[in-house]
Amino acid sequence: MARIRFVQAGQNATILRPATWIDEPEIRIGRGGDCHLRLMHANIAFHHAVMGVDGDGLILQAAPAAVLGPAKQPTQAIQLAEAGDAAQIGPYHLTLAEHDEFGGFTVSIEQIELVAADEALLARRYFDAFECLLPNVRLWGFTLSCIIFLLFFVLPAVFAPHEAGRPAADLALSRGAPRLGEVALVRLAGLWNVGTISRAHGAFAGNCAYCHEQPFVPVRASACLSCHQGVGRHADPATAPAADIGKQRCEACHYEHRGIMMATRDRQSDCVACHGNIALVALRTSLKNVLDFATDHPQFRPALVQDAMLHLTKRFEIGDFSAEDHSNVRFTHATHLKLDKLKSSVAAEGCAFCHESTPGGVTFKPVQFDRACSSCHTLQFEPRHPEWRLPHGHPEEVASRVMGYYARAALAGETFPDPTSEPFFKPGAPPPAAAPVGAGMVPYKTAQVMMSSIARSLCGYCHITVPPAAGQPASSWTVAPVYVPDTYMPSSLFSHARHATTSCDTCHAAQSSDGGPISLLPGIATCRTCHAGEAGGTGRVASTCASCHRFHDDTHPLVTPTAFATMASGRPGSEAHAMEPRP
Amino acid sequence: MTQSPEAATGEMHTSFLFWKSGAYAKRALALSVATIVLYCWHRPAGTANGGTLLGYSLGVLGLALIMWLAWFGIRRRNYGGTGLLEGTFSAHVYFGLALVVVATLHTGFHFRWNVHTLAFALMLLVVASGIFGVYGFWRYPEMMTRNRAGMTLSTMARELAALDLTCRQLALAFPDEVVALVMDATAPVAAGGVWRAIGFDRVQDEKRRLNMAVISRVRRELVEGRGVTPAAVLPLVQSLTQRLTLIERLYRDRQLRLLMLQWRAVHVPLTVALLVALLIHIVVVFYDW
Repeated sequence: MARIRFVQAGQNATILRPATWIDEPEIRIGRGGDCHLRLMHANIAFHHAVMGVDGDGLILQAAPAAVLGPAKQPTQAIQLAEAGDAAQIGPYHLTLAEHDEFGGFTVSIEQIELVAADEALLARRYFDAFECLLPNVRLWGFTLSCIIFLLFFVLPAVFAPHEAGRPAADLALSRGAPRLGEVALVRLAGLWNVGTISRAHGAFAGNCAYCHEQPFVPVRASACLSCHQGVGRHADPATAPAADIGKQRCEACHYEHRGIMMATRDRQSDCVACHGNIALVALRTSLKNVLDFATDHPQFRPALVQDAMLHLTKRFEIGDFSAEDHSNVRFTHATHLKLDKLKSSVAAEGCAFCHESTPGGVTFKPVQFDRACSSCHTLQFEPRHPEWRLPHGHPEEVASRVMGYYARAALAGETFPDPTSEPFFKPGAPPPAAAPVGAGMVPYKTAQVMMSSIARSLCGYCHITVPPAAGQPASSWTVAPVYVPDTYMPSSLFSHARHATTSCDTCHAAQSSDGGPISLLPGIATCRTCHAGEAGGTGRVASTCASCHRFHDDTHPLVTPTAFATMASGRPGSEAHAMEPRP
Repeated sequence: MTQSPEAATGEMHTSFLFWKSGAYAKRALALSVATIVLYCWHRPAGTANGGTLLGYSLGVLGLALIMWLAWFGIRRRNYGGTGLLEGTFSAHVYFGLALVVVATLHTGFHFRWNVHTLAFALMLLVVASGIFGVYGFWRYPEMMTRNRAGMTLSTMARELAALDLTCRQLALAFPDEVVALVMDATAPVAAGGVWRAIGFDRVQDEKRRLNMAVISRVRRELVEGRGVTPAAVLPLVQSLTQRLTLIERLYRDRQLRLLMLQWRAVHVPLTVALLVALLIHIVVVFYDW
């Protein structure tokens, strides 16, 4: 029979039973309601251990599923032989405090581990866990900013080509496959690119400094003119000094980085500001005032040839019956289009039978005799030998060709009609008398052919021919020089290719044209059927001044070749590229 | 950098959206419409872009708006979070939206892989995060109030701690198997990461299943297995159930506060990054002028 009492030690012990003497053979210790000593702790089992007397002391025996002692040295039984011996059970120390003379044992209990889940601590823990913490937004912002600054400013600034002559400039000019590193440099430059570079300038896209010569300085005209050296002013400075653009930047009107097509300022109001009353800015000009193509634009004034030798032209209004063209060619469309042979050919091939487009179709090549005329105009001068023909385009050889023919005939003993008679006599009429034979025939026949056939019926049929001067031989007939200009409206930018969807006779009244070019060219009314002014119109194309007119007058260049050479030599990278034609 | 949950879930309302009958909304709308009209009216050579007269003007306007909107954030911080004038906040929101129109027109709808488009994209992200923030202010405070049922995070944390201890204490009166179950069930709850917390529903279901299983097992173990009367088990089961309810409230509360506040973790850093990208954009444009 054990007689034991338990007393509390320390501040944290929880003993449910009062410290009364327990007289039992075995003292049960645990959380269970039937335990003599209830220790209400999670680390104490329901029936954790029993305590009994062992000789002069006590013994603590753990239940099968429980252990005694510290967690690192678990054991099943602990003896408390003398006062001061202690055993650990869960978080408690059981110490044999006293063994009195009556056989009673006093055991003190002390909780040696504090309550782990102190409520306040646990509450704080929960609060911290469920509190919403924002990340360090300043740190994140700073880090992100550094990355952006490094990738988008430092790298392009240090490694991308910003000087002419750097590798990327060579890359732009190279024809071979670029190396990966060079491509990377160009890509870096692209990080700063504000917009698509036009197709024309795409080759320089890898090197900003090709056009942007100095940092923070707008692109200067010199950068443009170093390539575009032939660009002219707007007008003759002597005639219209106010229209001088010499001190303006090209970017005032031409905008880069706006797509694959170079954007150009084409507002009608810019033009009308001066051309609305042109006399105010150009006193001596022959230009007429214009406000809008649809409502206030002068009639077209083609430039007709006045002197074919000197290529002098004079402008006449469409419909001006006094207009004269002296291109020295006798030709009317109306006459030719009535011919049966030409009708069938034109019907088969159209106007292209005579008029061949230039590559791109903007305009037409000059009409060639061999292609357009020779099938009808054979230039035969002697019916007996039609294979002998005059050389077209070489009037200086005509006399020698004729003379050579008759010299050969004389040597062959051939005879010809009297040189004073017509070479083509009527059928049934008496044949003309025989011509002289032998060497005497040659000058006679030559003179006859030159005067009659060449001056009138052959060359003279289409050309203005000039008789020999007094005292000169008849063989010195000449053909007046011919000048048919490429365009009769040199101030316009008309493209036949863009109008290819309409038939030629929509604009050109070739069937009835018998008065030279001015009768063939369309007037403004014809254009207005499809083209409106800047504001446009129902079913009509909005057309500004720049739609049809060229701004730059290349006959008055902005930079003279000498000035260009000086300017280019001072340009960055001029050693490599200044005087070379750029791609 | 922390945000007090009490400050965040306090008296923030969406009344700023309707400040003075939406005075700033009207002004911002007028600004947007005016810029759109100007954009439609403008006929630049080539395509519209930031380099035309209107493009530069819109750029300057956009820059001014961004600087003002960013200054608002600094001012707000200096005022200590809630010392804002409602009207200023209203203007911040609506002119922030108008900025999208102004900046988009400034770009002329040209977007490429460059620093200029980067600045634009950052601006869009900043505005988008701001829109989510406004949505959060409009949507979540009421849900938070309802979820909290008059408690604060502090009281919920204290109550959960108390319930943990209560459950454990009550469990001590029962056999070891029950104690082990309850000890496991009442182990301190981890809040989990941000993304897991935002996807709260899945977490909630998981926790509920776990806790309900524990409660069922406790009841089965005691009432059916050991013949303990239901009345004796009731306090423990009630405490466990209360604890489960409270945990769900806490998770839900955290989810709502994350949704309501974390937008700022995107808004502020991206604003700083935007200012840097904007500076580079301006310098670069005039460097290669």
